[in-house]
Amino acid sequence: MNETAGFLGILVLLLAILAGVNVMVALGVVGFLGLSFLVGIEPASTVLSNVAFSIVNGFHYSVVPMFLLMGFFAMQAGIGRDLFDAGTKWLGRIPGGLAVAATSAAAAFGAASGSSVGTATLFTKLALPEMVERGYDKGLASGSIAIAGTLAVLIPPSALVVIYGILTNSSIAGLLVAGFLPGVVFAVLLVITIVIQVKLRPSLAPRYTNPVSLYERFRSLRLVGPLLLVIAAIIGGLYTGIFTPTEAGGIGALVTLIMAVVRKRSIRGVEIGKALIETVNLSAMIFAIIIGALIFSRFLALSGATDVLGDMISTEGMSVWMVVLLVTLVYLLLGTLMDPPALLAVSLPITHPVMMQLGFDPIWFGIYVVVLAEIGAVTPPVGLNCYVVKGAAGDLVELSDIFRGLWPFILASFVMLGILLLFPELVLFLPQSMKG
Amino acid sequence: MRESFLSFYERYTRILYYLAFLAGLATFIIMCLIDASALTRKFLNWPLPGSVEITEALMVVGIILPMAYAQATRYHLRVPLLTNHLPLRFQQVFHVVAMFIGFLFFAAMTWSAFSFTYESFRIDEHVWGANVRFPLYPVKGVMCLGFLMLAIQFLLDTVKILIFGPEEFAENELGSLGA
Repeated sequence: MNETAGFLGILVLLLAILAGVNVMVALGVVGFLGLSFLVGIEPASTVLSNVAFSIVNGFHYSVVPMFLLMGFFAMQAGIGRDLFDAGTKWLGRIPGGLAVAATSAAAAFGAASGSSVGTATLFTKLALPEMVERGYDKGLASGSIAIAGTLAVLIPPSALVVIYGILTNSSIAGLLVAGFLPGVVFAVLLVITIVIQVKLRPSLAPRYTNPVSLYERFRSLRLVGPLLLVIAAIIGGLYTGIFTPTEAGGIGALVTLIMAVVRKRSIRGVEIGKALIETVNLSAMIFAIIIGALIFSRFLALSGATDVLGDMISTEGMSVWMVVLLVTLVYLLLGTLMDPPALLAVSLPITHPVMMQLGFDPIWFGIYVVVLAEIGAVTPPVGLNCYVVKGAAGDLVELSDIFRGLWPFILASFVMLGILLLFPELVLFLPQSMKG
Repeated sequence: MRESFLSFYERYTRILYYLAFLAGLATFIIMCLIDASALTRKFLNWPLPGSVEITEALMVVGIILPMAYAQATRYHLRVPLLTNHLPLRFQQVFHVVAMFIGFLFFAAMTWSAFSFTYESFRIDEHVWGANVRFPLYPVKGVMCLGFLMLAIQFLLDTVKILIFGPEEFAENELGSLGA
């Protein structure tokens, strides 16, 4: 009976979300009604504020607003332009050089910003006009930017990875460090995809022939160097246990603020108020979803529905690969309909307990799910990043150009999923060897 | 009627903006506290006294207080994929119902947070740190206030969509996409 309530809850949740109820409200209402049915309205009511307060009153969770603040300050510091300039000078002459430069710069900038949407918006404005002006195929140009934005959520520090950690009570430091190697490998895969496309069809990207002296190349690192050092220090600090994730976020935010002040030559030039308002708005959205998801997951756990699901999979003798395939398909499907934070909030209360019951590592599953969520972020019909690129590009490209240009990169993303499945050590090596 | 409602709506949004600004200040102070504590811990082997407890209290301000402003500026996610191809009139009905459900849920959250706060006040609950001690009910009270403001915002959105119809609804949705 209780399990039936759980399964019914999952169905009602999906219908409510797709009918337009706010994601946080749908999660919270279904969770609350389900709990009221199982344990009575008084105890269910107590759960509401207990869950909310335990999350927003948690010191360790302050890492989320700190990473968001770091991203907004990084945008104000104009770091993205410096990275693209440096990328163009170092990588501009290889096939598809500007797209390669934009992808590499977006990976580095994404590490600082942690925002897929922010990175895609910025690089659409910075790199797309130049690529189109130099005769790049619009599909290749816009598709490479849309997918490069997704690197932001994989390469640490990443707010989405922290959200996974909060929702599943997994090690946040471990998850952050775990994203580094897959993020780098994914960036390299995207670069290879660009180069192969241009090698096969050179008309996609005319060769950049302007000679750049060695002096100019090293000079371009003058401004991006400090940022790369900060990112390296944060990842290294987490790995060696010198910093906690919260401290890494706080120090990252302060350093990017200082860089913005230096860049604008005064503190008045930096719109601190705007960055703070953006940060609290996003934090409020993220934490509201987390609170809703945790209320829902309490209900689901109490109903026993996820246990039944896990037992069903075990007794049916379904192979682990079949389960992974099933989970992958569900995430790919839901990912085309929902934003990554909403996708994690809605799905993890169901999939995480089942995957843990089947013996999967929580950190590996976190990185795998984040990659899946990001593939969803570039897949139609929702494909948020595609709309973001279209919105920032204006009339420069059509939505159809972006979707057309994305397919090779979506294939590359599937290769990335394959790598994660075949070589889980790529994810687990750093967190298993980290100190602290 | 329409003008006075809009005027009230705008004034309410203004209040929410100030609350969000206050939350922004709390976030900035959190950053300063974390940095100061990290540096003193690393270099002086002396973490800043009370920084954890104060950060926890400020987190409530930084996260819950701006929730209503985030709703007013359409930051909270909606995915109306089943309904956005229906005629505008039906979309309006679904949106009104969705906002009203939001109001009911956050009214329940407010009531729960109020009981939570009152209980904390009644038993004189305190935060006990190594060097700081302060009552917890004001912190829990902030949570109650944040949920109350959000419940009111959902109610205002319900009324707004009822009064202004599908055109206004379409405009709101664009705002939501922009976020």
